[in-house]
Amino acid sequence: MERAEIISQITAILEDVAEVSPEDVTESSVLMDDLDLSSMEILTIVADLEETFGLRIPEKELRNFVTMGDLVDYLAANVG
Amino acid sequence: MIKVLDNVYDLVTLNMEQRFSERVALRFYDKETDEVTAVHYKDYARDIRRAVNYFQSTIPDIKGKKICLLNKNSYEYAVNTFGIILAGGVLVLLNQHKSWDELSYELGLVEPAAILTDGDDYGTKEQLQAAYGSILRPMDGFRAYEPVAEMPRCIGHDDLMILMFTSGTTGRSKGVMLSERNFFSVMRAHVQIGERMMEYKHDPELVVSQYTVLPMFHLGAFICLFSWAHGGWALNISGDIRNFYKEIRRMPSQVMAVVPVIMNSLHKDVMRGRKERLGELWVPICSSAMFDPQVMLDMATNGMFVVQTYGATETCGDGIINYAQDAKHIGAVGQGNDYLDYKLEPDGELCIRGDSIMLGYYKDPEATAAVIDKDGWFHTGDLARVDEDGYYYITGRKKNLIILDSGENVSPEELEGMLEKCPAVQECIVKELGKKIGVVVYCEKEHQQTVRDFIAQMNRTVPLYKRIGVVEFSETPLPRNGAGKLVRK
Repeated sequence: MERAEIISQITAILEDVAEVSPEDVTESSVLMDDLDLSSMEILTIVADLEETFGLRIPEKELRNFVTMGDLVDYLAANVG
Repeated sequence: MIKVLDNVYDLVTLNMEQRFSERVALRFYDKETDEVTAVHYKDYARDIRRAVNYFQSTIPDIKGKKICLLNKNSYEYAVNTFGIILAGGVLVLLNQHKSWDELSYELGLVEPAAILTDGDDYGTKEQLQAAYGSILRPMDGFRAYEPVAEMPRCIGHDDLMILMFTSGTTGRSKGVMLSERNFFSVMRAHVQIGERMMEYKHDPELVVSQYTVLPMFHLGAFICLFSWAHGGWALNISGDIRNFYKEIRRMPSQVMAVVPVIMNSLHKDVMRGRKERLGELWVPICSSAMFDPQVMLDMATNGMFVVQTYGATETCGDGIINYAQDAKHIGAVGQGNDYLDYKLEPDGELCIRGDSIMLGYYKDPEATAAVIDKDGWFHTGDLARVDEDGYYYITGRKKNLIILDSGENVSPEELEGMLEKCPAVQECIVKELGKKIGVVVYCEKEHQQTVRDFIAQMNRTVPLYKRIGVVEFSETPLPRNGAGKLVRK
């Protein structure tokens, strides 16, 4: 899947879950800091991503998701 | 006032099968089908009878044998809990997220007759299969069995009924032995949570649902299987916090047991004006750790009824419960229950005595003697003070105390609580470093100066002896034990 497509899916979920405006999101945005997401919102976003992309993200990966770019990298590598 | 029972047999045969048979007992959400299933008490009790038959039929001489549950929260977890107990087995609750090193130690200690798992791989599936393959069982084995006609009455009130593990900050985890008396002695206090809610809402018929996402191997979540069945209330069971917002919409819940990380998330929603996302939630029950009083006060002033419980696995949960909503007392853990005795040792350690105190640590009389003295007082290891209104406040933990050369005692947790207010600090641990109070901070490298500046400012606000003199940084998360608590040594 194209990186741009992944990004647009994530920003749509961010807008839906946490009312984050897509223009405020870049790959370097820090999820808990720049985007002001709570840990529970991050987990909710992960749950939605799993549903959207049809995959299960192992728990041990979750702590690596610090920035928006981390999420994109993971999905780019794991989504067929 | 809600009638409080004193045994498991009555809980199932009177409350579940008669008084509340038509009420919803448990709900759970299936992500695959996007559907919520509600199970009524009568059907829940029928499955418990199946489970009793299943365990008695398949485990010869089950009385006193250890049967482990090793899986995430689920409907089957609840059914097997009562099925094992009523069949005469000893229920052992294990944390599926532990490493094999920890898990194999605990399994070796309890020598189980059966281990029930949901088949998911939490990182130890292979080792578990290799070492215990012959006694592994699925969670839903009971479904193929008929409900037992005559419910057995074989539990000794003071016998070992449930074994749960508690992890210290050092050393191996310990098996806490709990009896039927332990569990039912705290029911009056526990049921009061619901009664206080009824009082607050002026509705004696209020039926309350609790969202249960904290793991059942944790006593605070597990004990609700007993207390909620006293009021005929429902538990909305979640196996995965990732589904929180979806589940709280689909399974409206008024109550939720929380730890600080969850409370802080709820707080954020409330303070951002997004309380509606939490649905009907208005009673967070805080437990397991120290909470920021300001966070609790913010929630109370925004329409939440904040309950704080203080206890340990060794005290079978709620040793003290706080219902105060005012600024002066909301940071306290409460005024004490009438079924327990409390005292503060000269050094401030809180001691508790009464029917809820555990039988002891499994196969470890030495460790038991170290915490329960000859007069029956359980030494909590927590330091407390009591104010003029009788409210207890936890001020730190005895075993983590830093004792300086000057003779001053400093609680690391108090300083950690202050440091955690610095947004750049991801994790920190305060300990003695080279005869001074030191701190190890896990943060982003580029934020190290920010953290140093914060500490410099913080040092201006504490007494001289409490100042942090050594700051070290870690670029990786700090080590944690099986319960997720920071390892201090």
